[in-house]
Amino acid sequence: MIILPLTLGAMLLALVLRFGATGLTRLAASPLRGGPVVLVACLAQVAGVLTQQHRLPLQVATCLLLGLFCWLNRRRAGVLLASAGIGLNMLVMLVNGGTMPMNPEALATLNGTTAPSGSLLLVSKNRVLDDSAARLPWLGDRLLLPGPAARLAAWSIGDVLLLAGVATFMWTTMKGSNDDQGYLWNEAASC
Amino acid sequence: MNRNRVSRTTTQVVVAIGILMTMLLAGGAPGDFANRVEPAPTTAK
Repeated sequence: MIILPLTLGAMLLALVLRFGATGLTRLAASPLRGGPVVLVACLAQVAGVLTQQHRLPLQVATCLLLGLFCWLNRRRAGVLLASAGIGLNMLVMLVNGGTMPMNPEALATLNGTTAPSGSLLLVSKNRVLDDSAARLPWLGDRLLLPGPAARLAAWSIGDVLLLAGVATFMWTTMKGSNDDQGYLWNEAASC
Repeated sequence: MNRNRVSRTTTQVVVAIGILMTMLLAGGAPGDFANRVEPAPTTAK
């Protein structure tokens, strides 16, 4: 769970250092549409993760709601990229019964756990599946960061696109049309 | 007045970040709880 706020926080920190308070003001002034829609989508996802029941219908509901959210924001920078990432993640989860396949080797590297293929993981969207048992296994959670960071999380190709889309959205929004005014060091110099 | 504006902007930033984080979570973003996992005793329906 820690990796998500950590990644977003690191992005925000880097962009605040780059664009200063002006960047935050621009972010505040350009809200995404459909906040409640994405909240309900997240609740459906969390319900499936916590109960481990009705994963497929809940996944379909999440998919439809996220599709609506992306459509509402389709003209915003980065949303197309994020939509592609969401689409890949939703696709692989839909064809695997509403669960995200995780490569057993990735799980072993992640936390030292070995689990037989087919095992669900508690409080997680993942199911351990050998490549031969998973559908579209190359879209599942199997990418790891190098070195000790490998223990943070297993990533899918969709995750990478999704994060790249969010980074593009934040960069473009906080940069604005004239970012010369927004450098933190310019603001500091003017004080 | 200025304090109100700062407060409103702060709220809007928090909401914007919240929406992005929610989108990441709903979209299957990495790591959710996967660093503290155990095999579940039952299979999914």
